[in-house]
Amino acid sequence: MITLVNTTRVHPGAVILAQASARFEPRARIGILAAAGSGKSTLARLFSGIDQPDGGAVLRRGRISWPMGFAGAFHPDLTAATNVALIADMIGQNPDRTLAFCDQFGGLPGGLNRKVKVLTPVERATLGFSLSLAVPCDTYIADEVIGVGDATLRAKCDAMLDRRLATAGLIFLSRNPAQIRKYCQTFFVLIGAKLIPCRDVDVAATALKLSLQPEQAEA
Amino acid sequence: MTGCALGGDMAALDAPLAPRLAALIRRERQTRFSGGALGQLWAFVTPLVWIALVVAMFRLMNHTAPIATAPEMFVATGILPYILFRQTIAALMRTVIANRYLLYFQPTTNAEILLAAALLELLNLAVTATILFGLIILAFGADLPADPLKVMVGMALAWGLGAGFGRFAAVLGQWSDSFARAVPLALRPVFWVSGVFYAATELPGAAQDLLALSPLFHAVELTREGFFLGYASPISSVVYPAAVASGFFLFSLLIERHVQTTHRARHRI
Repeated sequence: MITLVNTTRVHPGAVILAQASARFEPRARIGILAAAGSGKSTLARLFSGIDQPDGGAVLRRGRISWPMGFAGAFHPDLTAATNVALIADMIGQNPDRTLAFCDQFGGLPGGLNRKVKVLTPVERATLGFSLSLAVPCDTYIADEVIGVGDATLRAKCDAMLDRRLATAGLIFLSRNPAQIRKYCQTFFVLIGAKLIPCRDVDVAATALKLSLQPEQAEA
Repeated sequence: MTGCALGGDMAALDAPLAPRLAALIRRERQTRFSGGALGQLWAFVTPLVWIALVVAMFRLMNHTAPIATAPEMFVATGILPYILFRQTIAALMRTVIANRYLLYFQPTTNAEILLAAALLELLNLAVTATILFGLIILAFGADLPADPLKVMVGMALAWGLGAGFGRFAAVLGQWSDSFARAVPLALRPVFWVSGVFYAATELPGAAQDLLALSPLFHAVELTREGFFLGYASPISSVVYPAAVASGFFLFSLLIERHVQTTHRARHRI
């Protein structure tokens, strides 16, 4: 569960969130619709505990995931297996179980014993997503990315995410109303640094469109 | 405006500090020398080459060690604390940028990433120094250290100075690219003013007073006092380098907080 209490987050030159208060209940599937460049990634890091608010508080209960699919911390000179095992140790997970999950789920050709620098971008993304799903969390955070790979792998990602969400919540930040509709049940829209609750995703999409300049709306 | 985030405690309970720190050190160790053909051997090659160069210079200039010992051992007692100091600074400045994405894996913090890098340098140099000192004793018939504890205090102070100043330089370097680039240049004179290839007893009084300002000189001379029986240096305070190291460490905490709260880091995560 994540609760925002008068939370403010600024970026040099821009306010991302201004004194926002909201409560994201356990096991709720929250969709936050936001325009490109409005600070989705900053909010995702704030919810994950990677960033801190500039004002107010973010109250977290339970294990919160990092933004799903994040693959930026894999060291290119280490193998996929070594990267995964070390990260598992860093977050207090069993490295063997985490490795077994990633191996089975992602199924990289040639296994996990190749160095990350020789993986294709898709393989690296798959590894990042496998690692996210390997770690049981109470709330998953997704920043635009909520699946990877071809149609088969995406279906596998969806099925696994569904299993995880049987006992966990999701906060999905996206600019894509269709994606939010597919994965979420409760909706917010980020307009003018405010998190506004919406009855459904169409209301959120309409409100976002009306708030944008014509050229932004097209983006 | 001040903000706070609560509730990361559960994740912290899931992952006690010691194994997380051990994982960070393992990762740092595996990546520190990755990519090169010599790999981990660089940890020995670098100080070995330094020692060989300075000893060669001694021989060319017909200079003898100012203390009754093999010149190789005299130079090693200066070079190894210096390398420990410099490599710790370089490691901290590198890790804070290169490993910033590890912050995604909560509860990992910047402080832990920096601590892991500093501890790895200490472990690396402890092994390297033991092997090199041992080789010099065997190959050149130098004596065993007269006071091993004092040698360790001298080396620990060199590391502490590297860790304290390195932490300061690392967090300030997150803010200012110019500062980060200036650090190696600004540290260059340290090699010349810290007794790496001369002893404090060789210096005239005025030079002693001036060079006593270099905290690393104290660490080097303490190492020599521990190594060479009967050697007493006029520049071997424990308190002065410890105070300088602590000062930089404490200052780095203030800068780190300022960089975080004002979002001044030049590398985004």
